[in-house]
Amino acid sequence: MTSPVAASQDVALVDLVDRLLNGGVVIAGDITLAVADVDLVYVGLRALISSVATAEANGVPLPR
Amino acid sequence: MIYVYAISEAPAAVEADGISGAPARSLQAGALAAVISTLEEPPTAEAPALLAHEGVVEAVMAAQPVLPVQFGMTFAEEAEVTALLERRQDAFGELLREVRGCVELSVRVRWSPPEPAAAESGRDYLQDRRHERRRADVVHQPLAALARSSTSRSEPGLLAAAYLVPAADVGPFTGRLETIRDEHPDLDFSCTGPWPPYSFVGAR
Repeated sequence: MTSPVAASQDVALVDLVDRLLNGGVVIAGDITLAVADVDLVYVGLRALISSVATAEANGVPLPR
Repeated sequence: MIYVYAISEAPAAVEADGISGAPARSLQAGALAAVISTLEEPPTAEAPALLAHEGVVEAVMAAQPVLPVQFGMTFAEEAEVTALLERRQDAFGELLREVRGCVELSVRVRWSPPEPAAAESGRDYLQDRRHERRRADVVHQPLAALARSSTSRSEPGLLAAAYLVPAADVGPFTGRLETIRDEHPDLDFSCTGPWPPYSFVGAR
């Protein structure tokens, strides 16, 4: 962790990914990713953190 | 295709851009509404889409009770979504009543678990397990008492819990959490939220 701000952002990202992929109402329909697959979730998490870091490093403003 | 972010009571006011910048809108079905976007292709579970999904759900949550939908659910056409809402109207209505006025708070607690090799006997092992459970309980039980509902999982060195808390009680909740934190300097705490109630709207 490089700074408390980065650390708390990482924590929030873990919580975000955990909620969106493992929580929420499961409705019938086409599930476009295997949400029950632990490996996929882990890959998703790493992708998320790396995407955010890359975006920030490039000075891209993130949504919200 | 139709992407679904959330379910709410109708009529839902939505003013937010969704995934890929597609506008989010409300689709009414009886007493319920789905918050949806029309997308060209399924979203991938990466930062822009995840944050857009969360942004739409939070925009609805600011105005009314909301059931966040799990990321990645798509339908061929609006009529399928409308039919789904009508079919499960009672269950969704009950869930909306349960989460009304509440937010979700996430608490993660980490500590240094005992080394597995350090337990030399079965009795040592069981003592370690009991000690671990007490560490989780000392945090979870008083917080759960302040929540309308709670869910938790623990493993050696970690407690991951979520609490459904009336919005007006967030202050007392975090106050209690700070007290617990001050009493246990050996534990590492993180708390995030308020979140939409993702952890309290599971399938039933």
